[in-house]
Amino acid sequence: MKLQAMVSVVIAPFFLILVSCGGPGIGLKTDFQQANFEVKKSTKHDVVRYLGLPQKIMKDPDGREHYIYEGSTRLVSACIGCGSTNMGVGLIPSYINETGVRNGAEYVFDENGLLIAKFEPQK
Amino acid sequence: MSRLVVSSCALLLAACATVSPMAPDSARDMKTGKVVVAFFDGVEQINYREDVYLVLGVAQVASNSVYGGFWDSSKEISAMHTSEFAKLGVRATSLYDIVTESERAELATIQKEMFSLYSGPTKVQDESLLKSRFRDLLLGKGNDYLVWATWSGYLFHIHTLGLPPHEAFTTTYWVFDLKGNRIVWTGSIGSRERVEMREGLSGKDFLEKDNLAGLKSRVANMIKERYKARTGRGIYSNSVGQIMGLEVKNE
Repeated sequence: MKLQAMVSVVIAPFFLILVSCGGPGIGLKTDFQQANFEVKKSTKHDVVRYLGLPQKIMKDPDGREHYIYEGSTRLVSACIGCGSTNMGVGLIPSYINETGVRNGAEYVFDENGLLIAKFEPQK
Repeated sequence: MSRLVVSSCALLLAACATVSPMAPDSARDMKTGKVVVAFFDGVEQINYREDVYLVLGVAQVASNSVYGGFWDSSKEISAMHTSEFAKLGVRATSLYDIVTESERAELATIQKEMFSLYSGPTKVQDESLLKSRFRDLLLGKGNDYLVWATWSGYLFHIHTLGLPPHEAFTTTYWVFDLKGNRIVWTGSIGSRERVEMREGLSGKDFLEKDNLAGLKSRVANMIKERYKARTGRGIYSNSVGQIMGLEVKNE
């Protein structure tokens, strides 16, 4: 009984720590199809309201705006056997990586902010 | 062994080197002259970092959100710094309140170039950073000094093991004497705060909802706090005014 109590005392905090680890995090939304954005109907604001701000905005020579959304966060470091690290403030962080583009989505808007094309990952 | 200890101490001491305040004459002149404050946001994105607990270690993932076109950050952050400089007794005006729309567009291009010169491989920090057109335009409007500032961008860092998130950025300032065409002070000042966030809220929801209400309020709070001297965990931290030499330092 004594041993059981001791084991509980040791194990319980670990469970507590593990439970407290799983927060909502950055909150990158990647359920692109679920939003059902409609070409010629949805606007820039509809897209941003649902997905949040994009990871990249580009303007093409015809004045159309391309919003690029990554399909996942980027792994910037992994450290086995070390504690929580504090990275310095990067001046300009790196762009989307190849995987991000492949699993992500792109929405194209005209000069009035109307969605005119969309490229979403296959279901 | 002793050599190792001595060299480590030397390294630590070197890292503690502080930025010198501006000359008292310059500080006095700056307080009597007309000062323009211009902040330029060359980053225009939120940088997110998240620590992921892997039992035996920690991984870090990142993302970003571009807010260019959704927030006139240069203008709004300029207004925040201008208000803080005014509290220090400086006759400060925001650049964006004294230029026309066409001048603003022209200055945006010039400041973009200045930001690239400073943040790019050349790392220009001397008088040549201020473009003559920018200087002439401000002199033509009767100004004596320009405080030009930019930043590293806002970083939101989500920790693991239930620790609260942190936010951070570094602001770099240049104080130009426009008539003398010289820099009277330059330096980088870091800001870092712990964020109290409602449980269950993601970083993006916290900062980006309601037209970036969270981000705007966090940035305003961090700027305000950095202009105050304070003591945290027993360490005294000088205010922006004290670091620049516009306020008396509490040693």
